[in-house]
Amino acid sequence: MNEPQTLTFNVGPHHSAAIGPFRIKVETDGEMVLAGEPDVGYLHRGIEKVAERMSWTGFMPYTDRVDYLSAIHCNLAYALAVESLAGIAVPPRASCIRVLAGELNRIGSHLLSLGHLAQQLGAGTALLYSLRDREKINNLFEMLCGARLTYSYVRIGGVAADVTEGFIEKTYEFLEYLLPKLKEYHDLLSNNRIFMGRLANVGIVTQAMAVDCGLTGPTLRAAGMKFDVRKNAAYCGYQKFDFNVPTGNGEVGSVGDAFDRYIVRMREIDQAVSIIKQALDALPEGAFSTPLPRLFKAPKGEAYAAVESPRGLFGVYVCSSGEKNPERVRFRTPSFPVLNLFPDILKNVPVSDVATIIGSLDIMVSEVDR
Amino acid sequence: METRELVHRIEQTFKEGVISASDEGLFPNVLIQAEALKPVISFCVHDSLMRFDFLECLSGMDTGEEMIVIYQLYSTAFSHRLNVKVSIGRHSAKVSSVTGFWRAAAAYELEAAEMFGITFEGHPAPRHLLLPDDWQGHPLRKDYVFPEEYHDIEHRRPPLRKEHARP
Repeated sequence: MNEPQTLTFNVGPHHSAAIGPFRIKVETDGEMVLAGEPDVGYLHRGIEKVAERMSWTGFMPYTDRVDYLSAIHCNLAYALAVESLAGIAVPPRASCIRVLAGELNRIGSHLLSLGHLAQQLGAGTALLYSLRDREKINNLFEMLCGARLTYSYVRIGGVAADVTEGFIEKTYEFLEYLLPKLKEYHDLLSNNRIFMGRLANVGIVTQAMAVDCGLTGPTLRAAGMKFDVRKNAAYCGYQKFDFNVPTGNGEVGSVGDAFDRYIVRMREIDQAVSIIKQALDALPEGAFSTPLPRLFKAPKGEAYAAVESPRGLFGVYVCSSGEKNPERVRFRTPSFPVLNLFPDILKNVPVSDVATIIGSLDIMVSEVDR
Repeated sequence: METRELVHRIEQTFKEGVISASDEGLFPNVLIQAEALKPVISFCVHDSLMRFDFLECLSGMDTGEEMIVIYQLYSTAFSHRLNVKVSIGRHSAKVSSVTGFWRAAAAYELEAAEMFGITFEGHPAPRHLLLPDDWQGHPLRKDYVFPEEYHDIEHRRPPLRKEHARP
């Protein structure tokens, strides 16, 4: 009597699994998802077009908005690209401060990501914990540059201002505070059998799939590939720092599943703590910035620079015609290629895993849309 | 392989298709003709000394005279990279799709198509990605006219600020 039929509904655009408005049209048969098609563009602001009408230096605040959870990395990639185009040397102190700020930002972003992931699974406590700790990072940033989210702290030629008085001590204090808290997260989540069970063997992204789709960052590393821009093409003196690149090895399920992505992020926080310590210990003296001419014009040419943002390879391509505004600025963002995964990643999975998969991929919608 | 060797290898294999090549500078690249795109990309992916299995980025660009599509390739096996540019006409901007080589190209091509009005021939599912389905024009083209109205939402841009006279 009843014809077999499927039900199609929307996940999003407002859904807490992805940070930002992001809609997935999900076709289901009972409890199983047959297909999921993403719809993006709700947050499209045309930042690449805006760049054509801005001055080289005046565009910096817009780069914050490309990925507002890791604004330092967006600033940094743009600054590195313009610096290499204009041949500007960055003082060693500025490079070290950039590393320091970038790693702090990475911890903040990863904390929010793991909190959101846990919240998707009904573990709301972890989100509150992670927001509590991220708040301390926001306070540090407020101390450093006055802003809590969109910093515009990295500038072409260096950073906006030297570290403020007491910042270094407060950062040491924060690291002392964070280490026991990380153990708390592991007790609460990583070693929790329910959490493991919900993430193991869910949303598997194999290495071949990740490379084919252009994925980078924790998703690619969880699939087993040791690819990190900080190691493969070091910038800002990352070669001087001693740190590991954690990769997934299928501890509780198979390689490249949601648990691997989660645990890789957790281990990256450990590495970031170690990098920050090293940066604080060896912060060189000297200038924090190279002064630019009042009307800065990048010479004719093109350049590309990439950094490792919390979500992966964040690249900026700049092209100059020698004018006071850029000819073209292009952002290669790590969340955008995730769209290519979609026909496959949501095929034949239970409805309850949809949020887990989206959450574990750590999709930042503002950088998908730009 | 060094970037220089990669660029030369492409130049030697595809003499006709290569318009220009620069093997040094900040953005070493090979500029090729639109017809040569598929053979060149196929060579880059399958050649045993190149094996570019990772499409890092695909971007469109409007220089005002021509459209350029930039393919930034990376090889996870050899850790080398190469930038391939293809030059296409502005009026009937058409180029073959490279989605058959990397799935990564699918979303990038959709974006370049709507932002620049480039047709990627052979794309499996052409559609609007970031812009609304009824959006007029291609925003990243140099001759794009900003719309003053969209679905009864009025939007007039203030005139561009005059350049400040600096002492």
